[in-house]
Amino acid sequence: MIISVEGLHKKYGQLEVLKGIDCTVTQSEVLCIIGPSGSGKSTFLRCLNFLETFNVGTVTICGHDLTKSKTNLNLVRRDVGMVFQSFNVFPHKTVIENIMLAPMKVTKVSKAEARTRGMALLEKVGLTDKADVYPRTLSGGQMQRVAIARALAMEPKVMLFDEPTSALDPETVGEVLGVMKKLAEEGMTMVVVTHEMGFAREVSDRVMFMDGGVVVEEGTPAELFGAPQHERTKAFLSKMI
Amino acid sequence: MTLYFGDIFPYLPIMLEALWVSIYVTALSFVVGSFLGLFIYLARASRFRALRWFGRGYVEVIRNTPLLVQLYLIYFGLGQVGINFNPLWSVLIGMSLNNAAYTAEIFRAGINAVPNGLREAGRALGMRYDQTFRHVVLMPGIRNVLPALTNQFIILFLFSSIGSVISLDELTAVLENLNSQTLRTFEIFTIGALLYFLTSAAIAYGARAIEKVAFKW
Repeated sequence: MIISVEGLHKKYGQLEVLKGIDCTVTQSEVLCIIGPSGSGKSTFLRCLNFLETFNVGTVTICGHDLTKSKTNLNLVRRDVGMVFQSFNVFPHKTVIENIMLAPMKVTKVSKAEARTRGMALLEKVGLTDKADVYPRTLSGGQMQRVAIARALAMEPKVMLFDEPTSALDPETVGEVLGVMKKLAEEGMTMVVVTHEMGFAREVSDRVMFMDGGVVVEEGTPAELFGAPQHERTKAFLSKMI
Repeated sequence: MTLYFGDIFPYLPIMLEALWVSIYVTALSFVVGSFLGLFIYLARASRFRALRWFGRGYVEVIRNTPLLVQLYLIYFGLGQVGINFNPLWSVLIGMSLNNAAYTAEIFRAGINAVPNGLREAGRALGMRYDQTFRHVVLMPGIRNVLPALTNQFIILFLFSSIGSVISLDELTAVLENLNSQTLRTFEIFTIGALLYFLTSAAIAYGARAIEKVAFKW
């Protein structure tokens, strides 16, 4: 079990945004989380690497128990890559420097080694020719691919994607999804919050539908898209497709 | 009344020498003060309440009292309790401490304006808080603050004229001396003002040039 979540509750003041989530993810599994805005899916994802704190429940990820106060979050995060909706590439660093930074500072990889590995990752995301440019010259899709390469540079065991294509032009969505699909095929364990139903249907092993801070329904893509059980799921899917 | 600028020209070297004093006093207090300001900002952003209160208190006290009064306190006030600084040191200390409060606020605004997503990206990669600050937040923050810092530098430069009240031989003090020697008040202060203006303009121009070279991104 790579990720195991039990009874996760999260409150912002009086507002309870996660009302008891249980979830497991196994090695090489691709889990897509879908649901309307405000359903708590991004918040849930952000709890998995403790960018978001939670009130009740346990999260175990790559063998680290996030509820134990002794757990070193920086060690946890080495194992858990994250890709954000807003890319968050470092504007003052070139593409290759974006990718080299964390390996050099966190795992003390030499500069030459970090560069070699970074170039290999850029090749993987199809951006070798952009290695030495600054991010401002890139398109959204290119920035997001840099962000994916940057996360992969830490050689994570799990990748978390928080609506990775929501801020992109329709034309560039495909290139990012393409990279993610390749990653899934290579056996990366992935949790993807997304509105891309096509991607969820085609690439994921399991789909989880969230609404109002609970998991309404989950199953294989065929089950969830083909024969949704709950009214809420049916209503959501009929609007999406 | 006729104006005789020609009579003033022989004094120009003295003025330029005094201008140099103004410039280096400003530059020195700006560098020291900005460094202090960075720490005051860090105190304000600290996890520890005591440090936050110290930072906040420092900024409020300095910003809500006149630099002139601060200078009197350092030069005359401390002298009374047996701590004596000469005029140069008094001005350097006063302007540094004063500048620290203003730059702390500039740093705070600039750093807070760095998108939080960058911080999160740094933390999510496993970098510690301090590593994220140094490698991710600092440079975009500096870029945000540079125009305001330039402004603060110029303000500090113009304020260095109050060194004249404790007889530091900076530009304004020398202008006053020349005025009482020659009684060419209008000419002397016109040229003095022009020297301040040209220097300020050069600083602003230089800062913009640095910005262009330093921030290719």
